[in-house]
Amino acid sequence: MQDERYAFRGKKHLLLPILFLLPQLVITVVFFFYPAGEALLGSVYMEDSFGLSREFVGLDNFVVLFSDPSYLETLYLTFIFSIATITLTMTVSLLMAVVADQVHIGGTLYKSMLIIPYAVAPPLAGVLWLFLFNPSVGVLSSLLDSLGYTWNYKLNGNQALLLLIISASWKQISYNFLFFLAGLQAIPRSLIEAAAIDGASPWQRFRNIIFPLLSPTTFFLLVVNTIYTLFETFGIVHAVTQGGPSRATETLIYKVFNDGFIGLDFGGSSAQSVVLMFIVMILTFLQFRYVERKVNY
Amino acid sequence: MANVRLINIDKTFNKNKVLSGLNLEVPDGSFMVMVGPSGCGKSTALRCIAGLEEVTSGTIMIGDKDVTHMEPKDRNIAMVFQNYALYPHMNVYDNITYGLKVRGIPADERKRRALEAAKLLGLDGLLERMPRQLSGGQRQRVAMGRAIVREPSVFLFDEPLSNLDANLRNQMRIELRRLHQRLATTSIYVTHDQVEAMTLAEKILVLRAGHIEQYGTPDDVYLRPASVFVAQFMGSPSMNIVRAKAEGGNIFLPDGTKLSGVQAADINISGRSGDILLGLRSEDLIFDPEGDIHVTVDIVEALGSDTLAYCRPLSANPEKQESSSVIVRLQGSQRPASGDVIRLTARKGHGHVFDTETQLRCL
Ligand SMILES: Nc1ncnc2c1ncn2[C@@H]1O[C@H](COP(=O)(O)OP(=O)(O)OP(=O)(O)O)[C@@H](O)[C@H]1O
Ligand SMILES: [Mg+2]
Repeated sequence: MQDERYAFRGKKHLLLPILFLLPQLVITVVFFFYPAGEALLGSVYMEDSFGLSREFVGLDNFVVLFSDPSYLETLYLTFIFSIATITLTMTVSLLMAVVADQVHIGGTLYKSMLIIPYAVAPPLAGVLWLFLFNPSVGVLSSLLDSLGYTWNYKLNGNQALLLLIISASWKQISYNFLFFLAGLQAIPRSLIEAAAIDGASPWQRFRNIIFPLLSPTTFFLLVVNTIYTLFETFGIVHAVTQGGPSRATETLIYKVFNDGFIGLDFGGSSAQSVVLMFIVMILTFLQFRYVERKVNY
Repeated sequence: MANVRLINIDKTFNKNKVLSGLNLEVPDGSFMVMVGPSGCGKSTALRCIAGLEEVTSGTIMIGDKDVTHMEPKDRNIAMVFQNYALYPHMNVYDNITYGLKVRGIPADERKRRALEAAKLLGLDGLLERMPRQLSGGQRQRVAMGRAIVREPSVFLFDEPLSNLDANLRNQMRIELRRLHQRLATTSIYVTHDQVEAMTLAEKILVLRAGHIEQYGTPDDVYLRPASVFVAQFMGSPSMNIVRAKAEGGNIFLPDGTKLSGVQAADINISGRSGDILLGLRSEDLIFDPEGDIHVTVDIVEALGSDTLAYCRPLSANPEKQESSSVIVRLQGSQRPASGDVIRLTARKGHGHVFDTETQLRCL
């Protein structure tokens, strides 16, 4: 690795690498650093309701935030939502990948069809599940009704959360499936055969050989899914529940939007997004620091 | 300890017949080597015995158990793969003992067996290492260790040494022999390497396009090849095959030269006359100033210990000149130049005669 970089050493050769990196740098600066900077700045100001003037308030916004019990509830809710979504997504996609890996006839068709949900935009995925579970017209809710179970996510907060978890997972399963499948196919067949001859049952083969060898993929997906559940699920929440009923599904990212753009509390909303940013940074850091060390074999 | 019997084994991959009517027995405790050109079905045969492939028809017996439809783990076999197939996330000790662990063998027994195998294979100091921290030869040994701790009744090897360099291969080959002498476990070994085949085998199986061409001891295969195919496949350089005629107890080359060295009586075809294929190994053509075969040297390869001369047979009548060349093994000190005409005799009793039609050996 060290030697490969050698070509770019020295000031004389600095121009070319910069040119190569430029498009990525521009995108990062415009779409990440600039808004993140704005948010950081906004979080230490208090703005009047008309957006005409603002006043420096230091860390007041954060103090207000953490002394607000409803914000702590949101934190807890987001935690539940993320863990449940990640667990559901990864379990189901791993299971499907393991099964798809065994399919010989029509495998390509099966795999292509499993990838389609990934091409669906998050709000559309939400709308799809919305229709399925709509209390008045949804196919699945009328099915549940006929089974004697009252389904109305518009009134029942837990049901609303469940619906969100299902839709968010459904959307992300394809992506996870693809990576798990690729990971599985990269495991040499002879390793599995050696384990079979050694006497390992299919479950032991999975547990002792396949799963550990998949861990780099699992780790990567864990990071990606964490970011997905914290940020990208906004579209789904917005389409399905808008945070309701009575804020039962208001996740961190949705609260940022709600307080900032609906409640017009820009300072508070900026402070929230800064907190969210830190949460993601810390989680990612922890994952890299503690989990990745274990997956290097 | 068990013998292995294949009874009428057929194996078809989507209509493509890879093994047809394989019948053979590998005696208990013997070392059988399977050779044959690439794609002839050696690995497939081995994988069928291991249970990694289901046979299309036929019966596989290990000892007196019919294992045809058994899972690999119930066949009491161990296999060493060409790429070793070590578990990359387990250290050497765990690699070796994994098979014992999943079979529920207690930890102290596992340890005892692993240490014993490690000692036998010279892996003592390496038990804590990960596979990626080992050299090719060491990995090979770990793969062997994993096979022997299980104390199976049959070892299966699929070109286990082919990823090693020539020196290491020689060394490992000798170790394999030592190991076999010590453990005397029935072994089936696939290789491309002639030397491995000749030195390791008690029995050699020559496979050609999915059927048995010859099954016998190394001497059988080398000294009495059953067909032109076996004759040319075993031995390096491959055997010279020339068209010849048998008549009245004598053998004549196409140009009419009577061979004094090889006589029909020597090779048991006295009764036969007419066209034959005569097989002469390069070492059975002797440089002899009085010799009756005249050849023109074309290319000379000096190998040090001996010299290979690729020659065109010369005849009085250039029209009748054979196109195929003849390879002669000379002593290392003999270095004819290209274009020289040299004279040879065939070593007495060392010719092989094959039928021109069936290409099979004439007894
Ligand atoms: N899983 C499979 N599906 C279809 N055809 C196969 C499969 N495995 C092997 N074959 C075919 O069976 C034939 C025999 O293959 P096999 O691997 O047994 O050859 P081999 O003698 O071991 O060759 P080599 O010396 O190159 O290893 C080949 O023609 C191969 O293409
Ligand atoms: Mg093979």
